[in-house]
Amino acid sequence: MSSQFVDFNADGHLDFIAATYEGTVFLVAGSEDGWGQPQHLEDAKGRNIVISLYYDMEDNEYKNANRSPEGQKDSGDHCVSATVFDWDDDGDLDLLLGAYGGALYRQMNEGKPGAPAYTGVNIPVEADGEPFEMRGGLTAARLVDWNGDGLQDLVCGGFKGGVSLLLNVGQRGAPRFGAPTTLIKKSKQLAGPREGLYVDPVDYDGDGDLDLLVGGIALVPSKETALSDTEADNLDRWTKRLEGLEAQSDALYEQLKEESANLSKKEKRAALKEFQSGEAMQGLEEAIVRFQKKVGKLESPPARESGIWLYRRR
Amino acid sequence: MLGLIVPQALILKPMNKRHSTFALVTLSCAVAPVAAALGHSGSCSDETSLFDAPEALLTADSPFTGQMYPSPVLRDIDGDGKAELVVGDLPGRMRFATRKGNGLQWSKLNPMKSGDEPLRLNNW
Repeated sequence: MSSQFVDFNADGHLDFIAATYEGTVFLVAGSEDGWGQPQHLEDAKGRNIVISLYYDMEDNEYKNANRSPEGQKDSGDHCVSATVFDWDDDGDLDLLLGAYGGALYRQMNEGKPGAPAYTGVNIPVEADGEPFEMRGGLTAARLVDWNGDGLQDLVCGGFKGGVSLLLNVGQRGAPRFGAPTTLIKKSKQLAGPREGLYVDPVDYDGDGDLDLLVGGIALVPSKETALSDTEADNLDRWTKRLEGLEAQSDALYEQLKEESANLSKKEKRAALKEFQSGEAMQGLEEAIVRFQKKVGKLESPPARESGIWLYRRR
Repeated sequence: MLGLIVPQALILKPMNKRHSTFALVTLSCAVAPVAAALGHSGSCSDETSLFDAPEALLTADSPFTGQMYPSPVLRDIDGDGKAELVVGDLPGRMRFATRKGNGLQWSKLNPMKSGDEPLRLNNW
């Protein structure tokens, strides 16, 4: 659950907004007396702000509410983050809603500062002309002027690792985001967080550039268990075999990526499906799973541990 | 219900559907000690990165372990001119720490409160 601190109701006090896995958005108003109780943020029709999937606390079940633009099918997406941003530069705060699946939507405010009137309609945010999707899921998007051009850019964290930057190549009141670039790789080899990366771009060390503060989950190697000589030999042999198989798999996926570079998204999906269901790939996958099980029996899985890390800008 | 709503990242399973992340972790950075995994070592840093290797922030002298998907925000929330570290988490808690010195050290986490009660945003 990420939060954004902002004077939402224009009363001179800092408030904050956040979305939870309930699929809704909360406002906590600040005042001279401190923080108020969390309130659901509502649209102009008095409905809770959602993307689609939300948890109905009265009926105790998840439900869908289609809030896609008229004529478009229900996205089915689940809101897990919210941030406000004056998208159209009209002086009020519009909403950016992040979906668990990786998409990002905007919902416009047709009210005025202190008296919002959200349309209830979620419009996909595009990156480089295509609906943006953070692969592996979007924890939350943050707004910051990354390149100092006076426009708000987007920094997005991934549930399955990685942090992406979408530069705003539009203009004030008409944002347009370019293709995502990588700020933190989804790497299995680097220290630090691997999953659930929540990011805050901020000049932590006061040196004039933006660092990244990142919350997330690291995978900590377990203490090695004592193995017999035979087990140790097997582990070494099977590990090397597994590495080889995975390298083969990676090479094939890379080849597919290159070969389908000029295809449409639909064609790419079809090509991927055909590739994954092919005999060669099926056999390779089965072998990988077989050796993973063998190796897994001799290894303890790494522990998952949370943390907050500072990535200082070089 | 939980099967539907718990984020995939919470489930102990390979991050990549094709690979066992756990196996790969052990293969690649396997020799790195716990401290390295939590970010105290630059040995696994990426030379092409815009950033130095990650450094773990500390709360009361220990890493921020034991949190459920912490989301940090650095912001002066009490108007004292100093930024607090606000940490939201999966269960909907909002807590904050104050900085100790100019480095990576922070106080223990304290609940943000509404009146006398800790703030908690409803989750599912």
